[in-house]
Amino acid sequence: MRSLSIAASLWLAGLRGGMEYRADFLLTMLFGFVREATGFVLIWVILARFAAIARWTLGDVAFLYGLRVTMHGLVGLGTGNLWGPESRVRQGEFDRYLVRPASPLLQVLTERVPLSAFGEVLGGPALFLAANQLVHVDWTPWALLYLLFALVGGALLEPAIRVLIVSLSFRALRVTGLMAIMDDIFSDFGTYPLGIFSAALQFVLTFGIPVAFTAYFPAAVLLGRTAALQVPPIVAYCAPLAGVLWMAFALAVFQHELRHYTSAGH
Amino acid sequence: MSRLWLNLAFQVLRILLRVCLLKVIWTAVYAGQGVVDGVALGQVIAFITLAQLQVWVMSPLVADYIRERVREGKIALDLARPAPFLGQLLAHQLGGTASLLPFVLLAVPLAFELGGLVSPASLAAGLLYLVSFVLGYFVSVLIGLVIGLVGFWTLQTQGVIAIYLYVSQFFTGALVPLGFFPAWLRRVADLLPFQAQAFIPLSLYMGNVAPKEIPRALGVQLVWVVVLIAIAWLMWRRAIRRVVIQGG
Repeated sequence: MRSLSIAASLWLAGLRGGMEYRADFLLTMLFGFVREATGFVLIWVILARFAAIARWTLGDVAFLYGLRVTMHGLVGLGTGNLWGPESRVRQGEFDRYLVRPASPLLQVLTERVPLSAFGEVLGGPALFLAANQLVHVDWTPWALLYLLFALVGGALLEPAIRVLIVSLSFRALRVTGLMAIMDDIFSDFGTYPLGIFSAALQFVLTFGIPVAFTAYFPAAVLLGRTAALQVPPIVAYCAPLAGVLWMAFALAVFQHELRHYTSAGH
Repeated sequence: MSRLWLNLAFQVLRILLRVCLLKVIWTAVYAGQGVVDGVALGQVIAFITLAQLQVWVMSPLVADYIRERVREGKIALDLARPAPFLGQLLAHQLGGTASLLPFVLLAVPLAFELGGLVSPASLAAGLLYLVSFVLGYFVSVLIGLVIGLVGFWTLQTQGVIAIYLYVSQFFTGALVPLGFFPAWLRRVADLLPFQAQAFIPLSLYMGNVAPKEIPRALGVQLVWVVVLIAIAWLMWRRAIRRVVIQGG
């Protein structure tokens, strides 16, 4: 409980830090929105000319897109700062996290709040609700509950991968480029029906990098499209669990790798 | 391997990934149809592969450079130097682009393998492309300069730079050739400078521009160069009077 309130204060301080540059704050927020908007307009322009992609219509893809952007916004609010630690480790500044009475990971996460995420947590749900008008989802209480679990589970996957990558930096590896590529993969590959990719790539995006579990499987479940998936429907139904498992694994690796930090430069 | 080189290698990797993804998407929507609206799938893929490479080579490095100098207060030192600041910026930009060259040589064959490339439609098309490329490069750099100068007022330009990257990428036709845009969106694209960065040079390269339209295509680019120089110059005259040195 106490660490939760510390986390909240740190997070708010990080947010205030980011808001110092007022004009840039607004523009960065707008950026979060613009990034996802251009991504969606790309699909929209293509599907205005070509009716469907892998039998998914514009409504279906917008549904998937809205779900993913919402998750990405949640990810950003909580963990966008995972870009930071590499340079801190390199310059030996990671010490400061170790001597303070709060978990180092928690301090990293709350040091600065990525402002672009605000644009996404506003834009994602808006797109999702608009898409919902175009598709026919039977919103039973079970479906709503599943959506809730899927949002939490999906929002855990990307940070889990980021935590794993950051863990590598304690062994003096450069990880920023790898982070950027993972971000691209989740953002770009995760917004299309996976059926457009070759079987091998679908396998990699399911079991190697868990992109499929993020928004694609939950969207397929809610849209009643599990029959066409490459995996048994039960795997898709269990998608929210994947986030919890990957995160648990990532946290364990982080704790383990933290011991390799050598405070370089002092 | 130095940090710069590693960074560039990752840039190439990201471009190749995007080329792969776009190829898959376009192949999926074509769904076996050979030609749509008179455009063959192979042409779309070649266009987009080239556009992605070109947008990368044209990256306006000055925008990020000014941002860094303003944010760290080093702008004070830059302004005190005997060489004019705008000259320093130009040198930084050209040097940065030159440092990309080895990686361009690496990226082109890989992009050819993963996406698709075609040679220019004709010798004349190739030569026109070179002229148009240079004009496009200056449009890109000038936009970067204008964005960088915004930092003299806002102090931080991360947001503007990021928005620029995504908006320009879309309106330059590097994701969807402008020919596939709905009519109203095409009109918007025609009014923006971004088409001068990739769409115009590459349309000339692929021989998609009718001979009598060629002067107009190059003219549009030239007009943007002039307009952007004027905007940048006006901003610079004002910016210099309100420099804020951060971090002392």
